[in-house]
Amino acid sequence: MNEPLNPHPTAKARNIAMALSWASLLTACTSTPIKPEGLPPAPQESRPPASAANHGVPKPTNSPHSATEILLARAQETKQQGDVLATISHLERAVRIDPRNPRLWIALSQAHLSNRDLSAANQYVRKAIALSHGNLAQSSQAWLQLANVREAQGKASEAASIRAKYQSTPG
Amino acid sequence: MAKQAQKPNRGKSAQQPRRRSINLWRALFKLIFYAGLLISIAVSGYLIHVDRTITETFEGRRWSVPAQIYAQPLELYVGSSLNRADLKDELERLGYRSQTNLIHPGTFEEHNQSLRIYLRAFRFMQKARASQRITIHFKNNQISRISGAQGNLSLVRLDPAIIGSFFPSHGEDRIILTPNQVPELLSQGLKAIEDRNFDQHAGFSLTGIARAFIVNLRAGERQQGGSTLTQQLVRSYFLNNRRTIERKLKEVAMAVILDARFSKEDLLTAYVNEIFLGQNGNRAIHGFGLGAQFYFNKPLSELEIHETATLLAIIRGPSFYNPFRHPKRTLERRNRILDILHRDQIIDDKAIYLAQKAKLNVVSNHRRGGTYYPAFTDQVRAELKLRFPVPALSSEGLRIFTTLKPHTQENVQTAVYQTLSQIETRRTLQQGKLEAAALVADSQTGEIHALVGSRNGEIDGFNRAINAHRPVGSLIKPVIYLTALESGFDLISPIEDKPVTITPEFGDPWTPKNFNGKSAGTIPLLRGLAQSLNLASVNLGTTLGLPVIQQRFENLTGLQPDNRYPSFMLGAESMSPLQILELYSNFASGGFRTTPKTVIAVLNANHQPISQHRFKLEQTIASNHVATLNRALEIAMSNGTGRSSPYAKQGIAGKTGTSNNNRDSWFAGFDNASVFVVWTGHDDNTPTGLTGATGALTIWNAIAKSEGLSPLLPSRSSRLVDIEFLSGLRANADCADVVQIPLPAESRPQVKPGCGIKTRLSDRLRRWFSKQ
Repeated sequence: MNEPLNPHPTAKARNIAMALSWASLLTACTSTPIKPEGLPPAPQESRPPASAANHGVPKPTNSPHSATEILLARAQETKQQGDVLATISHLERAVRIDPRNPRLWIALSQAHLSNRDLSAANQYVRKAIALSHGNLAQSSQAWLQLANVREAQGKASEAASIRAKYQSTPG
Repeated sequence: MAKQAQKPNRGKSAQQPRRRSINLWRALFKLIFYAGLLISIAVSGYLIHVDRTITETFEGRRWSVPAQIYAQPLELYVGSSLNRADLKDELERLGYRSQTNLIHPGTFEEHNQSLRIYLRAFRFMQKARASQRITIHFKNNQISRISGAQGNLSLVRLDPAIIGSFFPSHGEDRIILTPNQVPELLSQGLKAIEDRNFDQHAGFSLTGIARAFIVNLRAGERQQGGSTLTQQLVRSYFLNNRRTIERKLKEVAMAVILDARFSKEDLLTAYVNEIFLGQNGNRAIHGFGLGAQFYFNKPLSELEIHETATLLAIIRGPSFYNPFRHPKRTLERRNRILDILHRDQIIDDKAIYLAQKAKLNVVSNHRRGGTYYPAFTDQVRAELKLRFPVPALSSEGLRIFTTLKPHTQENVQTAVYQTLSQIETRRTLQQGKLEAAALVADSQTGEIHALVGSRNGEIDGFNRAINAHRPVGSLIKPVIYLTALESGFDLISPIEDKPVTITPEFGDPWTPKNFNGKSAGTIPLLRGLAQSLNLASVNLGTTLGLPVIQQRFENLTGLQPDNRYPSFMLGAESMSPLQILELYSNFASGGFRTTPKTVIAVLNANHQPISQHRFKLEQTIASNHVATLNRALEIAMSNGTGRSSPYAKQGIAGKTGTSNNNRDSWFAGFDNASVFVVWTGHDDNTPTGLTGATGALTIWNAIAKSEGLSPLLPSRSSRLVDIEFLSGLRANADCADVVQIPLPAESRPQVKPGCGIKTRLSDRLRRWFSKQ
């Protein structure tokens, strides 16, 4: 889960990432329109994670690190014991300490996925993707979790294409 | 014969009255018998009725436990930005006492670079934590190490503050104690002061009355009551305070029944939980558990001898012996009680010597003592009502864990109160008339850390943060500009700040005006938002179409606009501060509608979670658009309507709002961690003369001063361009007042002449052709 990924993917990979990123956002438009229809397309200023890697992405400070690591470990423990509610509770506590840490949102998405709450799993992983903007390793993890959510939603082909992209990224 | 015959006659005549008399007696006896039977049946029926009533009430009261509401516990971890003074303040807020050695939980010991703390035991959501001693070491205003008995710790939390409870509509609040939680000193003291024969009598004591009479006669005042504890309990449960013979008889009957029905331990515990000890607004403080929290801000088990004696003193007359209002009188009675405890050998010589010397020690501010935040708990109640029936909240002993951060709540309440007073003084306004509401929430999770619903937080009443729906003025404008960005505009797109009259299909023509009555002409889109120009915003909104903007508003808030006219675009739409918080959460969170919430989880009396309240979020805005809008809102602070704030250039994004004739003054904004909403105005909707910047923003300034800021991070856009704020032309700091903004790759800003910026040939040609 914490395997570092290559921070310099190919241009092709970037394009796929961009396409997937916007495909995912457009999917969300079905329930909540992000871009009103019938108007000129919005300029796309954001870049996929890889291209923004050198833009001074704020790293989580050391401060909450040890605390959130402990809570992640506890969450892992309770997850193995099959206690999803306790897992979610530990992870939410961690998020309160470090709310911009994408790893925590990914783990929260995983916990809700195992609890079959697909809506929460979907929104939390989107949060993780937004927060991991510029950090390739975390961004890849978030996208792979999105693939899990898509699969659970019955969107197998979308899940497969996300995995094809992010699992092929050299570790 | 005649004689003989007479005998029987005489005998007969003599027997007749006797028989009549016997019959009479028989009839009388029957009458008495039946009357007695009837009376016995009636009395028995009445007693059975009384027995059933008081038994049911007693059992019911014993288990009717109001829900306890807890604040967020303070998390302590290595690297946490918390200095020694901050932590000491937090500990004192929780009623921890500074001592030189840690004998009891709820105490701490101060050292140069560290604090030793004897943490209280607490049953958290996940598991119970036993009391334990830890040491927190500090370095450079941070926690550098936490050590405990087993070595170093990475993470530990303080016990959370109790911030209120859901007591029933009759207003009785209490913290229920079990028999083994009643300290020996309290039970012995209660018997010594209130009912010396408690363990012997049958609910009613003639000797008790006689003794009280003699004691009071000697003392020249009412030092002892003649009522037993059981009678006092009966009075508190069932009866009013009218002193009639009928009521007294009823009281005695009920006391005797209660005493026969229940053990002495049960009765004493019920008394400890029941007795009235004070009033705080519409909240009646019942029982010693809550009494200890209310007067001393700590659990009953941590009370010192003189503090327990003070509570014993209050029983006799919570109003007469109110330690906040009548400290001298209360102290005198407390010392008399200490004398009795000493005389009865409940406390020894040394203990009475120290206790008599001690001050009253009640909390300096009873709002803090109760850590009671009714405005915040209003929202907790509103969220829980959706999931629980109201009686469950006030009787089933639920434990509600919430998101409140007490230090933030107190800072915000103080900022509101002090700033309103300053504004009224400075502007010579009627003192005490301005009202306000303020909210602070985590920008990523939506969890509310502070909610202020009125100028003076200790009084229950109209909660403006939740229930005041007021026109929001320019706070609505970001919705127009967001819609523009999503429709192909960028921050330097030219828009027209020119006079406009709109004639809707149904309704009167509408001619909006700018705040200063002037129009700025053609301006960059950024300036329209940052300077909150009405004409530019209406012209832009008209281009986009009101239905499109209102659809976007619905997506972002889940609310249907009430106003379907173009004046919606200038904020002629009433919303509550809580609804504004939800609107701005879309921006502050980076594009997620993040529903504000106050409840984390609810546990039942057996500590099992019965309701967990998730972070509720939904992506509503693409990350590039929200990043661009947020940068514009940051510039609105640094260069626009928010620039008067001393924090305007310290990484805060926000928008001021003012409704027609200065009736409502608003500010909504966010930094990297929190989202804030402030409203101020008059309850009667009369003008205040305040704009968003001169009213609500100044309250926010005070909040920022006490809470500190977490500056927004620099934009991560791939293309950041310096432009002149007023014109939108490319420039640099040498030649203009520049701001750095994100621009899409295809956007080609014109260059301000004289800035020495070289332009590409293609751009020069394009400009040349566009002029032809």
